[in-house]
Amino acid sequence: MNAVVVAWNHFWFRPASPLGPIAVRILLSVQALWIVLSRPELPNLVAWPDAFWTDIPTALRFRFFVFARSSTLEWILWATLIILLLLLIVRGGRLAAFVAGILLYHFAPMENILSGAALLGFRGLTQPVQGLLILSFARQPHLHDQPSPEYRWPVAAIQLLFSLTYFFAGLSKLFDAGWSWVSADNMQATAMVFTTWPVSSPWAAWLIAHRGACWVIGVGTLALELLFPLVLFSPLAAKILVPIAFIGHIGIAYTLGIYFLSSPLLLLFLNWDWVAEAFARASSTGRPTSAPSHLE
Amino acid sequence: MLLLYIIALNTGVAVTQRDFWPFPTYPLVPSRYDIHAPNARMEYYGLTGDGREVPIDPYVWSPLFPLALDLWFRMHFPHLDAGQKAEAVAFLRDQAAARMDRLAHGERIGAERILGPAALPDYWLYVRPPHYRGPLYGLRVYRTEWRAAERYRDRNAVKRILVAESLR
Repeated sequence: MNAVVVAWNHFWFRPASPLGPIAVRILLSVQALWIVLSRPELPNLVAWPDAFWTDIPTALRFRFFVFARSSTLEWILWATLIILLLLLIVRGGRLAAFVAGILLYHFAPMENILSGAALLGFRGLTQPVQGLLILSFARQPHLHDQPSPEYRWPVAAIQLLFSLTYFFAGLSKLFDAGWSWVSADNMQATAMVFTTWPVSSPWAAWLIAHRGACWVIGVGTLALELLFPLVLFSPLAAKILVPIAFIGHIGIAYTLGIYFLSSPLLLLFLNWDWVAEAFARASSTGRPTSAPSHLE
Repeated sequence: MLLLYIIALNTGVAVTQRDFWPFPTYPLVPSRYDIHAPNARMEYYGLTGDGREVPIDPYVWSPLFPLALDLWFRMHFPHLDAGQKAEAVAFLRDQAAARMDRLAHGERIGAERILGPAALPDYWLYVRPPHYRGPLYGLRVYRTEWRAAERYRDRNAVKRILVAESLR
């Protein structure tokens, strides 16, 4: 039992530098800004004719606070952008992180609330909502603070939640299709079906023609997804799995036409202390350094 | 307590496989696909002055992307009365015509309105047809049905059913 407590405390509460939560706050703010600036017409949806809304459950509107008129929502969207900029540029604060998290929670389902708000996990705002709300409970870091357990647990919690993106994707395959999901037959069939949908899938024909590659991708994808939580515990696993995940997202985009909007957040697993040290060394010697590749 | 809450909630999501956003199950292509199974989606065409059908750019429906609009047409449109259907399709017709016109004049629409090519797309990377340059006088909405095994060999192996039409 004692060993469990020690392991628990080591994982969540070992002293960490303030760079981690600062980097996480910046990454989540940039991601959220990128999404919101790419969806500038979200407030317009409430101005669509009543015919679009008559069949939408009231409970769904209550759940996401969708009541306001379009002009009000435009102001709220601008407020969201300003708060995210505050978080990005001038640190903001716990209240700003909380308000931003709640406002993003409100806007996130607007793109598909008319169709029951399905598959919200893939719309890119899940991690900013989760992460900013977690940061609102954490101590606000200052760049020159000493390492502290208070700077470890929020970063670990946000990394854990992001790693579940992959782990749960693997689990859902096992629940839905079972181990046969990895078969070359299924990979070929999946690629073939997607080529008949109105999405861009330029590599699909190549994949369909190569059964060996289908097996490698099927087994590799499920293995990556189920093993991904190892990045939380092992720097070596992070060095291997995070780049593979990034390459996998490129492969999926070109084969199935699916773009994982949260893929830039793989940077959450970068060891930002190492990045800072590398830059400090480079600036003190005046020599260029190689690109940082170390992952925590 | 916050950490225990997060862990308990996600364990519940994993065990029950019930999506409870912002704690989702992330079902990314979880099924076994069957190339002989039926597929269906909606297709949208604008009507030109001489009665030709031209494909509509997927970004004109912003803030919705086509997948969300498809689902709405399949889940909710059939339950509307005739007046509501006419109102909804007329709205889509006017929005499509206005935004196709803006595209024809080189303006940005939808996701690209502020950030241009740096904007994030939908998680589906839609094929964007060449932009028709000219006024549109109507909108037709089709439900298309096909089987991948047939359509992979022949792009035209598709059954089209007219679901809605709206003319100016």
